[in-house]
Amino acid sequence: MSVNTGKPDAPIKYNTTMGFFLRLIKEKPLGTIGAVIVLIFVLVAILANVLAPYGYAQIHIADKLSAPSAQYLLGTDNLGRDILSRIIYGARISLIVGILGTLLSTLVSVVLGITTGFLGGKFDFVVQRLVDAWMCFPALIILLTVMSILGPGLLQIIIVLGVAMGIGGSRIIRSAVIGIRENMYVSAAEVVGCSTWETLTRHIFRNISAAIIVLFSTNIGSVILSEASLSFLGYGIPPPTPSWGSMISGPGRTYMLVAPWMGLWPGIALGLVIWGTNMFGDAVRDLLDPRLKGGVGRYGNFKIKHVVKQKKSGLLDTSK
Amino acid sequence: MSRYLTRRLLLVIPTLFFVSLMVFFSIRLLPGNIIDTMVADMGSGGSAVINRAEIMHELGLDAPIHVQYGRWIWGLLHGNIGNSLITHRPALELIWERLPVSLELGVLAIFFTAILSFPLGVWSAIRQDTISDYIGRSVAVAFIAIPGFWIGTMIWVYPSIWWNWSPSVIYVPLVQNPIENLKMFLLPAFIIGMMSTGGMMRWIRTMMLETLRQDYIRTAWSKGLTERVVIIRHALKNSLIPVITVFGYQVPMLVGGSVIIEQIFSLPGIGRLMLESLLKRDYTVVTAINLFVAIVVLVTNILVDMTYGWLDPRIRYK
Repeated sequence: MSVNTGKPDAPIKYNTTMGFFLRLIKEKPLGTIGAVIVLIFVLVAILANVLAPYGYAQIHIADKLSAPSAQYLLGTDNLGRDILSRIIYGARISLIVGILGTLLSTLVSVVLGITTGFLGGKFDFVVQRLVDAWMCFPALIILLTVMSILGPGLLQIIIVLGVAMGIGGSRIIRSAVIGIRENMYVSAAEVVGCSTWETLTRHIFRNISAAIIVLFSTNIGSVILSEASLSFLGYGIPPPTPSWGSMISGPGRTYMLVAPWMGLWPGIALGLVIWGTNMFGDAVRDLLDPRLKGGVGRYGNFKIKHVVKQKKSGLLDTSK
Repeated sequence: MSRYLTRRLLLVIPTLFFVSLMVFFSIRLLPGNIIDTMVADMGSGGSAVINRAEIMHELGLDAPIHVQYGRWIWGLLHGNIGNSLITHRPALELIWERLPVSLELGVLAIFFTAILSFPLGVWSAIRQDTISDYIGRSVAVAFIAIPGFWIGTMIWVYPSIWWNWSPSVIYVPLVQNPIENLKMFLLPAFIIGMMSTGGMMRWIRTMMLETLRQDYIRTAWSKGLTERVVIIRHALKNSLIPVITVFGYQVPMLVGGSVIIEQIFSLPGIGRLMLESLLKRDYTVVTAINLFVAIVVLVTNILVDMTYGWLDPRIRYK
């Protein structure tokens, strides 16, 4: 891959799913690693009951607080439950919260963003001040207050996270809609008599679909992390359901000096999954964001300058 | 500039109105339930200890809703956010006591964010899609991915097992013993700084990448300027403007992050007060903290927007 050969790489059609993944592998090695991590995470969550050696609430009281061994690969907790099995089932909780929470938040963002961006006027003004007001509250503070009133639970957490994150994300959709609304073809569609609904679905929605995918893929990591944070503080998923966040708090902290593995492994699992979703999300954004297109590779001038420098010093072969 | 400023300040009024509504209604979402749960929390003798009518009155729940709201706003205008349901002390006083801790933590965290995210972001951008960029971005995303509460917990565990060392828990005010105080704050501040570095670094990288594709950068290269001058004087300076605004928007995140970190490191700040009040169901204090934090964020956002207008001549002369 070089600028100076004058022969461009064969273009990959990326408007197909297959082409998208080909480009991902070709251009975004980190994104590919992220995608692999996400894939493993999803598979583990789906196949939890096949993969887990024990049940998540199965108690081996004689073996409580035992260190990682052949029998319990990652050790057991203070009740003698197998940590590995709990992490595997915990993946299920994280996946459910991650997907449903992000779907809900994306839906909220899209509905709010499209209506305000497309309709504009007083309606937009009022809603935007509401969003402003909402954004004044740090996410965790809102989540804690609402969860403390609603009480802990899976459904509550999905709804609260979905709505809370959705309102913030509506700004991104709104600005995308406003950008598209200014285009000539939208006015043209209106002039030739397209109904508002038709304009919305055929012109606006299709053009913001990239923004929606980006929003979804970048939000999923923070939804999973927020659930873990809330569960860590005791306002998330109630026991005995294994949530990675609550495994680190509670007994995980009480016994942390006796059985450090209780808190260690769930954190590593959480970190890996969030890292993977973020890396994958970034790659998706880079591949779909038209503003970042054009200068694939390093920014053009810098590259040329270096090539010149290397030519002078006879080091050209080190360029990739 | 003055027109922009006036417009910006006028917009605060409706926002502030909605903020007040949200804070006001958040506590009144389930008015009956709050007292019931409070009584239940008190145990068997709860109903005897707690006087229902008194609490109803204290929360102002014995009047029609618009009267309640009016009263509450009137109180606010007189500097009265409400009293704690447990200790009966003014909530504002409680917040004021805890403020220095949170403020110090926040300032230190911003400092760490800045010294971590700028070098990482700029380096990643000028070496886009090379090994350096991959390492820089992996590190930044790892900062986001490693949960603050987990690393905060692990810092208590492993150093203590390996070296018999653990962070100090006795809070020493800055004025009393600055060195002991800093010893206590550096670690939690670094963790919070780490949490917001990930986002900041990626912003700086994206902004730099966009700036680096501008015509004036090509001009700067063509003039034969050194890489250092092009990057720092031409590219970084111009991509700094949006980055500064993002820095301002990090404030809510810092506050959120400090809730957990203050808890783990037993720092008596506002975040800890929030958790304590939630646990005791001291909802007047929770409301007061919500309102206080919202106003702090609102004011920072205005300041950030003003800086934006001041930094960017295109906005200044509009």
